[in-house]
Amino acid sequence: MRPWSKRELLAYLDRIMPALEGLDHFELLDVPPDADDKTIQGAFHNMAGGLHPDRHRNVLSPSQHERLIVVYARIAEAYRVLRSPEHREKYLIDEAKRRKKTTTTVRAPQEIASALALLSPKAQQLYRRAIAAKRTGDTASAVLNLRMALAKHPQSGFLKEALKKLR
Amino acid sequence: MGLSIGIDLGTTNSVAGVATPEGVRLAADSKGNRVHASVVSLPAGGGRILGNSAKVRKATDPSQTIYSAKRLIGQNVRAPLVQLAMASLPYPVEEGNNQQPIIVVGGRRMTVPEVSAMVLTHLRQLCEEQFEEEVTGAVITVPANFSDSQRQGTKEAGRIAGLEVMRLVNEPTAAALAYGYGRSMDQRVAVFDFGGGTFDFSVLKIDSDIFEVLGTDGEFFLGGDDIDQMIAEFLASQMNRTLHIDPRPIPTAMNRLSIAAEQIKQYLTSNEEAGGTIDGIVVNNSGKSVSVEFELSRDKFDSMIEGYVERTIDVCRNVLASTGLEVKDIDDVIMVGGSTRIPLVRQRLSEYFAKEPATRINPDEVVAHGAAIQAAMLAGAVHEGERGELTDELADNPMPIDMGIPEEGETSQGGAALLLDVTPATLRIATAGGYSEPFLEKNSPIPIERTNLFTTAHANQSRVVIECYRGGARRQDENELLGSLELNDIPPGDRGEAEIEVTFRVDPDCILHVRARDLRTENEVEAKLNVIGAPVSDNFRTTLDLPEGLSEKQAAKLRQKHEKEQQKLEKKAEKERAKAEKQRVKMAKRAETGES
Ligand SMILES: Nc1ncnc2c1ncn2[C@@H]1O[C@H](COP(=O)(O)OP(=O)(O)O)[C@@H](O)[C@H]1O
Ligand SMILES: [Mg+2]
Repeated sequence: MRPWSKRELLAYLDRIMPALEGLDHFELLDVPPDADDKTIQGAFHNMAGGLHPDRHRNVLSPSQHERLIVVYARIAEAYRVLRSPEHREKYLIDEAKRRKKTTTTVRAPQEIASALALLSPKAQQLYRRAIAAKRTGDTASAVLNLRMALAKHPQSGFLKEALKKLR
Repeated sequence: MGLSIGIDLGTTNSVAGVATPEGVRLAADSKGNRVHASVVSLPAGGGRILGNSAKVRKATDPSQTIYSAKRLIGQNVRAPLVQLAMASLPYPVEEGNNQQPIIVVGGRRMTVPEVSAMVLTHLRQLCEEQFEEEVTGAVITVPANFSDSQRQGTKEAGRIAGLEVMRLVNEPTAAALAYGYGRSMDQRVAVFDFGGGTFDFSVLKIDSDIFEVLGTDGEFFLGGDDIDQMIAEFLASQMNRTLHIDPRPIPTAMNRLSIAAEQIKQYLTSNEEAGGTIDGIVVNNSGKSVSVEFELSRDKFDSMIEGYVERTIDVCRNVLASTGLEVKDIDDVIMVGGSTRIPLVRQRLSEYFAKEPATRINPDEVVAHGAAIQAAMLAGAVHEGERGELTDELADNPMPIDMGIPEEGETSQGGAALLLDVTPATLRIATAGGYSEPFLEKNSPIPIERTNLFTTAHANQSRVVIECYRGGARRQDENELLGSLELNDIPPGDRGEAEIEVTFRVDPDCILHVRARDLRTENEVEAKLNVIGAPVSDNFRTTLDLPEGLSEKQAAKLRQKHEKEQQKLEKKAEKERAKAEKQRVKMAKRAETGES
């Protein structure tokens, strides 16, 4: 697995840092909610291979590197929880409770913003187009735009969920 | 920028090297040895003797020759196992500041990190001479089950030796890295590391360039030293029986027997039968010495150490169980450490895993190899297409060091390998009633950060103390206390009304940092835990050994630089001391008010 380029890495940090608090473990690891063990381990290896702080020690400034460690440490926590059936179950229950507390069934705007922030700028744009199309009643192009976004992030649970709702 | 080296700082032996474009090179002493005794001798007449030349002085100058210091680093002198280990050391150890062990030799009081720093300085100088470049950074290996204070002590030693400690890497992980580096393998490997003082066992998944530790465990006081001790006891009872002299209370005599014991043990590795006379056993102050005859067969020896060996196999069993793996899932077994040469150890190991361990590995050097590779990777100093020339056994099976090709102008490191390590023990947080709950279970990936909400146990509680433990037991007192953190000025309210957010962060060196925040007031406290027994030096001053053949100007410059560093260190030590003192006062107060 090739480490990410400095440009990719900084873009990712800029997107994810403000959203960090609102992201759930699936989004952090970039896996669908029904991901199995193998998928989870694969996703973690992929992310670690790309953005592990050890791989970028010398190209980032100390403060950028610090930020990267913070993000990586959160991804590691997501991996710790999701790879263990026991932790995962407990996490899902806690998470459901938390969601209920904030809003019913619909995602809180802050959560949407966080999940969106994870996507590449292009995919974000596609998502916004889909939402706009949906508002005007043009479901077909909404689906099309979401599909195109999904093609960029095939693992994104957030996009899959949005697509399901649309149908 | 200077060299970045890898150092295996062992209980008994240390090895240091650098990954160069020609491969990993290990530093040798003047006699050509690449393995260096972790021994420091400070003769009464002054000066300092290090490494293999110091080793022989264990017999001739025992009270001024320090060995196995690693067993004491970052330890609380009052811990029972430490007391036990100290009983067999011929040099005096006293209790110092913060209950840390202080080694007293020739009227000089030294902290353990200061002693280890001398070993590190020796290795550093060997590297500098051999590779003709200044050494600035180092990756130092530690046993996987080293605790926070032991890790901090090791880092401290590195700093005193003037090294930037780039990373502490777990010894078995380093061994696996050397084993699988650049081989694009897809394997599960077990690393069985049985050295002089400690035993470690890790299981890793090597997925081409990713080395992920799946599980690890070990025992800190289980190694060749303990086996020597057992044989020494056997010799002592022999002496008692035949000569009616009990050498056990006589340190000089026991020291002599321990040295003989190690030789006997090693002899029995390649022979079925050992026997002879041990002479020069000094039994009283006037220097009277006696000799004792002994006989020890391999069978008898095996039955003596059987319990120890079974303990190592038990650890293997537990680690496999905790990772959900079976023996047949392990593709290869890597043996590390001098004690894996013992035939019974090899036999039990191959029986348990139902396969022969890998033989292309040099058990003495493989850890330093891994450390050197990791140092080069962290420094970004190794470039594409480099190859590793390895030790004898590896020479006909060369390990390519292929660092991959960095994207142009972007990532300066090819960094073809990545170590994903884990916590060796469960980190816990104290709850009410003398209990604790796990916060990060053992084998959690590092670096990691977990946050969770806690609340107060009583109404109108204005203060919480967050106590952190390390271990697998629910009861607090059956775990090791790592330290505590105090959050004050909690606004009054009902029981359970306060919302305290506690964050455990484990850094890449596997050291825990704890943060607590009162969500209602936004008050926040953060600390690297202050551990009892952790090294807070009362005396950081080190003497400067100037290399020969310097001009007066050069020497003066070096002296000046040294003095500046010393002053900086002292200032820092002063601060840490004050902090530790404050912490202790707080903890004592808490006991008075009896809050939980
Ligand atoms: N041939 C041998 N047979 C048995 N034990 C040995 C042999 N060679 C070395 N040892 C033991 O190995 C231990 C040192 O192993 P080493 O891996 O260097 O330790 P450490 O890494 O803890 O410094 C010592 O206790 C030594 O007596
Ligand atoms: Mg070792």
